[in-house]
Amino acid sequence: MEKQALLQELKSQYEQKLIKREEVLAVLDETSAIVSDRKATVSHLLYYLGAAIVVLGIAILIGQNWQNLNAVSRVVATLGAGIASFVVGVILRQDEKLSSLDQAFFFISSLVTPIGISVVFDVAGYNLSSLHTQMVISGILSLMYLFSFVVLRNSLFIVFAVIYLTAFFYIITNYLFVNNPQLIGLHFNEYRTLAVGLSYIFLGHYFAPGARRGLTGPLYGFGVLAFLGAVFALTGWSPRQNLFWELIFPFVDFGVIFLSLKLKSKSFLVFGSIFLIAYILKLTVEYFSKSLGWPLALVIVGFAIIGVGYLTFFLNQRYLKEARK
Amino acid sequence: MERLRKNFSLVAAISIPVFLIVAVIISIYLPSLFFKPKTNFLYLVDNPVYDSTCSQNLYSVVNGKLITSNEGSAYECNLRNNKVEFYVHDIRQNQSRPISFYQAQAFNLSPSPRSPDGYEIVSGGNGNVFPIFYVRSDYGVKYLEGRGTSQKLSLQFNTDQPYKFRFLGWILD
Repeated sequence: MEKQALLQELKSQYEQKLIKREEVLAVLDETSAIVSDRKATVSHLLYYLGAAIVVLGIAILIGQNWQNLNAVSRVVATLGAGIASFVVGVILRQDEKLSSLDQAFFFISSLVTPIGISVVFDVAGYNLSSLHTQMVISGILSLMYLFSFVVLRNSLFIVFAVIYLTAFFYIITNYLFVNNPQLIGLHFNEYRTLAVGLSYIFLGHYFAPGARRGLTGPLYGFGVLAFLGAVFALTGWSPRQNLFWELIFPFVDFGVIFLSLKLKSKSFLVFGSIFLIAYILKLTVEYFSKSLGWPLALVIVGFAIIGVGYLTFFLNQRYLKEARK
Repeated sequence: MERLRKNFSLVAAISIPVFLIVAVIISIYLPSLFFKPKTNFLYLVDNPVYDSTCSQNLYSVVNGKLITSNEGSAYECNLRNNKVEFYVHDIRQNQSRPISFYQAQAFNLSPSPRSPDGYEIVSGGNGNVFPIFYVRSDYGVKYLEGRGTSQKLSLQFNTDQPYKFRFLGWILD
């Protein structure tokens, strides 16, 4: 179709109210966003790398002189540096030309501030290894990053909010339940990791259609890793396998592989395949290595892995790569 | 409703961990409403000077009565001035009171691990080394378990030395 005809067609569709102005603009915005996203990725990667090196330098400098610093200097060197970086980031984002640099300073702040808050609690005499203190610190950090995101609308803060909310979840469940003898032997770690994995997957799904779709990939990746890892661990190890989870696992795993096509997620496909291979290996070792003998069991496992590998390759080529085109 | 449907994924992401916490709280605290142990128990705390196994040889429950033996290694233990303390644990008050050996001998005891009303004394959990799943070890702490729940027992021994605690029997009187 020629350009003129295409534009004419678009105009006629618009006049007949079959297509809305916002829908056309959304498609154009999406295309330009993808192009600029790719350009931005390299520079952002360099910002983060630079910021990480700066933090490493600060950490070494402070570490070397830690014993010589008094309480106030320790707080200033850590929390002070974090707050200063945050303020610089806020100032930079006001200037259109320098606004992309704010990421680097927010990253420095996000790495240093948690150390700073921990130092404040340490200096104030709180025991950092106590669950109370850890719960308060992770709670403060979670709220701080959520608030920063609400005010500054920067995706980086969501990443840190998710990290500290996850830590908060593990610490509060440690505090509430883990020493309870009723939960001994009930695989509480596996269940809460399963919950975290599901939560990440839903969060990734929530961000998928919007401007923060960059978060979807990592959230799906970590989510499906935690989810399948937890379900796999629940199947148990010989001689204390859990028959229920061993029977359920293949359905869960194939469900994840099926979802990879629906969600267009490579993480689902890759981790689904890896865990399927692990499951085949596990079953072979537990049930067939003695009856069939090791050599024959290995042959069967080898063919099964080739089959899973081909399935993964086929699904990726046929559905995921095409979807990305 | 439309808003909820639109934000379903976000609501699910937040709800799942909260749901897990609430579900575990309910499953732990609901059975505690039915937790009403009645049977007191007798225990000893061993304070060995040399040999931690002394009291095991020296005191035992036979035919529901606490007895002592002065023969063989038990006699040796006595010679080493082994100090053994006896306690009755009041299960309703969750507190122990010291008694003498002669008072303890008056009780009718059931040495079964399970009390007549269906409760058992169990140890706490072991620690876990993986950082994020850090679990404080409370192996030395004793719990009363039954009716789907448990209660920490307030006993008169140092939980860092759990081997000093020895359950002798449920008091049937």
